Order: sequence, then C-alpha cells, then structure tokens
Amino acid sequence: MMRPSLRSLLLCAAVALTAFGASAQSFPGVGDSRSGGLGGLLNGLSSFTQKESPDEEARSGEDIAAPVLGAAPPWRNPAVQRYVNLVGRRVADQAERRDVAWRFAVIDSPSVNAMAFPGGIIVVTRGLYALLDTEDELAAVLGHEIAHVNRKHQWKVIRQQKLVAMA
Amino acid sequence: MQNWRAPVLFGGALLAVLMGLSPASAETAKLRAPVSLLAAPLASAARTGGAKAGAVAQILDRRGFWARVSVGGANGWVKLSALSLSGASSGREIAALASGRTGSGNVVSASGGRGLDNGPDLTKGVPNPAAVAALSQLAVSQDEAERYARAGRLSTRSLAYTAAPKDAGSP
Repeated sequence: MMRPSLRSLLLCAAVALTAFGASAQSFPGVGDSRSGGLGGLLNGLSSFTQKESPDEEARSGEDIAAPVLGAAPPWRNPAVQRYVNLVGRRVADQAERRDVAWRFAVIDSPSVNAMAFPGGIIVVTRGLYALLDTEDELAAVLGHEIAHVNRKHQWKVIRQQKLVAMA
Repeated sequence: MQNWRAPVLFGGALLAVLMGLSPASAETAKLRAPVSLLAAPLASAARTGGAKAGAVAQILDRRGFWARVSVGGANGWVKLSALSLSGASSGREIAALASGRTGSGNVVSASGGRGLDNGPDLTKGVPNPAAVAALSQLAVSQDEAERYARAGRLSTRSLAYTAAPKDAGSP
C-alpha cells in the first residue's frame, strides 16, 4: 500500500522545473526550444496570435504521440497501467488545469525516458518505471510531465514553429 | 498495490542487461552525502564499500540513473542523485550528465525522443493512432484517483512552482 507520509503530491510541482528538467526529455518532434534571442522574440510574438483551443492542443498531442506509441506500444500489464493512472491522475488533479483529459501509460521500451504531450497524454518507459523505488518517485516523474502539459511548454514550441512556417 | 513490484524487479534485471554498454566518462563528481557503493546498479545490490560526503569520485561508467565511481580506492555504483559535478563542470547538475549534455560527445538530440540511456529514438516509430485512442480506456476518473489517495491517507498541501533555472535543458 501507499505510505501515508507521501510527499509526492507536494513534490510534483517543486520538482517540475528543476532537476528533471534537463534529464527527462519531453519534447519529441518539436526541436529544442532554447533558440536564444529569436526564440524569445517568437515566444513574445506567439502570445499575440489567436487563442488556441483545448481541442487543437489535444489533437496536436495525439498526432505527436502516435509515432511514439508506434515505436513502443503500451506495456501489456493492466495492473501497472491502472496504478500509473491512479497516481498520475491524483497528482494532476492537484494542479491548475481542469480542461485536460489525463491519460497515462507505461510504454514497452527498455529505454529510460518520460514524455508529455499537449492535451494530457503522458508516457513513462518500462525502463524508467523499473528504476523507480517508491511511489513518491513515480509521482515526481509524473508531476514533472504534468507540469509540461499544464504550462503548455511543448504547445508553445509548436505554435512558434507554426509562426516560423508562416513567415 | 504490491503487484507492481514484480515487474519492477524483472524490469530492473532486464534493464541491467540491456543498458550495459554506456559510454565511459572521465568526469569527476563530489558526493552530496555519505553513500554506500554497490556491486551493481540496483538498490538491492550488495554493498562493496562506502564514501563520505564531499569526497571526490571519478565517474567510470553510467547506466540510467546510476554511475559507477572510483572514490578513495573503492569502486562501486551510486545513484546519480548522490553526485554533484565538480571541477570545470561545477555548478551544473548531475542531471546534465545523465542526459549527456556535459560535453562527452553524446549530446542528446534535440528531439527529446532519446532517454537518459541514449536508447532508440522513440519519436521515429510508425504512427499508431489506434494505440493513442486506446489510452482513454486506461484513464481513471477524478473520483477513482481521490478514493485511491484517501485509502493511502494522502493529504494535499499547496506549493508554488519553483523558478526554472536559466540554463535548464528542456523547459
């Protein structure tokens, strides 16, 4: 059973943008957002574009997730999948967004990675899952990825790229 | 909730085999805390020695979240989280080492599809929209998650976001 002293829910936000930031790579297919001055300029410009809809954000996330699940499908372990969804959903419900359809999965890859996709799809590899010792650690990883979704990190990069494509 | 332990142990063993070929690194790091050196990159591995906080360790190898270090004449595996990069890399987090950003020539591609172990790029698969759609069947409701948390006697406390470090890798 879970340990009652879990600080996982507290950790989720705190860990979100710190140590795991450089380690858990979370931007498949959209390139590195650290593009210096131009990136900053585009970031500013993007706030002037039309307001995005949650639907568009979710569709884009599903499109980006599709090749990842093609490379590594969800692990056939219903107990683990349910467990990860229970912990993930509980962590997500502590955060600020309510317009997200949260879906969590352990994907069948020995690689060590976790990814977030716009719209609330979050995957953890079987390899990363195997390295976790406690539920707190799982919650910390999921909390990090949840923060990517909530703060629309990847979605902002996608919108920047759309702006570049239009220019 | 015990039933996830078995796959973890199995996965850990599998991982140890699959991840055995990481590039070696000549970096040094300082130990953040007193550590046990372990015979293998697994928390359950036998202790081969120990080292004090602040000791400088040479990183010989790494696998996932683990590094094999040489410190004070002893050798063994420690979790990367126990290490703080020293010397020329001072001030940079060990997470940077884990993601290969510290100049050892294996910089992680900007795609983010490669994980800590520089495994295959997961973004290069043939799109499987059916698998994406099926994820909804795994999802649980807010109520279910709340009941689960209540069963574990979890309580909620509010915390603010921490500021993102200026040189963070992925935001």
